[in-house]
Amino acid sequence: MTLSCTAQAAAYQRDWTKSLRARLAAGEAYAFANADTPLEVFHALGMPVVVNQWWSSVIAAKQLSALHLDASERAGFHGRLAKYSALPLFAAQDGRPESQPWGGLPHPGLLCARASADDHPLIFAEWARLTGAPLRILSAPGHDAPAPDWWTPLRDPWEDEVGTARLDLMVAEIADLTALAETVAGRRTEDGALAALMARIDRQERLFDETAQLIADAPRLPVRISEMIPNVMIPQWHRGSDWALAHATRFRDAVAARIAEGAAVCPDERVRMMWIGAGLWFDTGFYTRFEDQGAVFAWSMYLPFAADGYLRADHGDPMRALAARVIDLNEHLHQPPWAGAWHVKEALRHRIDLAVIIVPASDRPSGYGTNFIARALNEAGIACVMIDADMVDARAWDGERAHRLVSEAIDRVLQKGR
Amino acid sequence: MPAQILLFGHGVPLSDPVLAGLAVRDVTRLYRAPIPGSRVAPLLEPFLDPFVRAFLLGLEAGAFQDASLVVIWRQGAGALHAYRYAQELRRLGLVPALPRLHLWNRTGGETEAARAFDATQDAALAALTAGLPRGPVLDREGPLAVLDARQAAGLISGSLAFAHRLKARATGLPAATETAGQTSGPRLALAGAPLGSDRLHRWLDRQGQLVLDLQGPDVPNRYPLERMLERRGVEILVWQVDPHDDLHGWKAPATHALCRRLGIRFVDLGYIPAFASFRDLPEVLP
Repeated sequence: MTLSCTAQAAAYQRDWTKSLRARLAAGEAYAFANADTPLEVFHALGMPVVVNQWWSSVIAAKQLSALHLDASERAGFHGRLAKYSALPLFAAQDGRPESQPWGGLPHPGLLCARASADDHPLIFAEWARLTGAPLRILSAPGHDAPAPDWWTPLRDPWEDEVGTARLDLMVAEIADLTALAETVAGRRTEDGALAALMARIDRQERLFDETAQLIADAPRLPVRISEMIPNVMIPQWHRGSDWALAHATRFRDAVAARIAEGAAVCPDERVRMMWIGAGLWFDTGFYTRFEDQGAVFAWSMYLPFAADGYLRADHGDPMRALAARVIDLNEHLHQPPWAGAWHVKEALRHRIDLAVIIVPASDRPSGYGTNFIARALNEAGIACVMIDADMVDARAWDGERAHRLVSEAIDRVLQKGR
Repeated sequence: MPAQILLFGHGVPLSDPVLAGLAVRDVTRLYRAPIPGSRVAPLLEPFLDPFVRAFLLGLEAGAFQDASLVVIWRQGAGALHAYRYAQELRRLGLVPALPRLHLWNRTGGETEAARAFDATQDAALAALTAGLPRGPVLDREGPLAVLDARQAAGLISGSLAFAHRLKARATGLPAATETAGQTSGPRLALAGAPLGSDRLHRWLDRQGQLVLDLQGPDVPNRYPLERMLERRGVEILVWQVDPHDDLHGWKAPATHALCRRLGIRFVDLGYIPAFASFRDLPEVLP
């Protein structure tokens, strides 16, 4: 039985998209931005923002990815280019309302990406060429001496961990992005709006932190990751809004109630798994297919990352805190030494027996570092299975093989004994 | 022998004022196979950038041991991953602890903030190299311009011109400019992903005259692409990308469209490994 808040989150996002279309039809501009950019700039301004990777997941979930990816190859983009971050571009190049989720979106008023992957500036340059929208590519200077346990210093004393020079640069670029957004929107961000937003986001992420801990401490998994994800990510796309904060509370309370009832996804739970990497958006049912073996996916990154990836004390300077949040946001999930250490920490907290790692060969920034993650987990005593798959390209998905690999790994865990 | 600074990253500016007079070499396009029993190779994903792979395997093999410093140029494609992996391999004790690795993080941005940040990066590199001996400042740009002009005039084979450029990078010395091996046939341009071997160039020498080599290193950039194609009378643009390319392919449709507009034949060879063998090449231009 699903949580009632799961349907509420989906309904909110559906209604938001419909209302967005109405606002856009009335001439309001919106921003189209990558997930690892400071979306807070747009939220504080009250400017609608559509997140590239969210839209990509929706296209894939609507089983439209093959149509657009095939077309992209006919247009001359080779088939091994990244797809997760490019699928919305390909859909926009198609342009037909009937081949877009909910009829699609008009051209954005502003584009924003961060150079956290070498290809993001190129993908967004194509967007800019297609739409004529102004584009901001935020710099992504690398951390020269990253601490493996980044999540601890970044919650509060982040200045030293991030580095003053990198923060100064990111703050200036966020200020520049804010100015551009204000020009496009035709209004100014209200005084104090960003500070208030950041404070609400802080409360929201603490609620998610509580929820993640509740799930980690529960004797058996109380809620599937396919439910966790919309309950976290839809509020995350609207983070800091009244609705998002209220929904984070609803979700925490619903999880707590379910745990209090003694409910379990799999009453005969014997193996706890973690899904490492972004979601398998075209086949989220995959996550439930091992429950007859007593195996559950107890973890995906989205819920715990809401806390570790986003909680940054503002120290009276919300824009600098925002810079500290975004400057290595996606990198923490994939690059050594950060990703290995974090996944080990999370695996131990959630009593994980088996990690399933999605390895997208054609989305290299997401595929890179996976061997280091597996090595770190193995050294911590956690078995790993690597699945060759793309997050949105259903054409290349060998579900039977993936099922067999995971199923065999579960058997090995069971034979070894928990 | 002067203290060597090794540089990794496509496009790293050997003649940057910060490096002026230092003994620098660019190791970006050097091939390395795994050492027997490599402990690093199993940690490298099969789709890892081929130049990053070669660099990391070289690090494990001790190929850079004589250098006083290895500088990684953040702006180069894949370079940040080279740095991350190298650091992690070192943390795990899988590659030698020396020489020191340094991330040269310059953004190249035009804003005041970007310039200020870049200045901090340059200052950090200058501080690291302050104690190293400096010799005369080499003129690298002049010989490269001569080499490019001779290639544009069809006075040198594509493979020799590429070999001159690779050698100049690998030694840090000015490029040789002597010409040889003039070829005949249609005037070609080569574009797409960077290559590490001259196999494709040698093959192209049998197909025509390579008068414009856009895959680098040291790609001519004085003029926009359209003007270079026209000025050099390019008849065929040959396109290729590495089998794991996720970057250069984004430019293919626009380049193809430009060629169509200019009446230039666009030939896509498909996936050609950065360190290609003859097996990877067709017999003739498709």
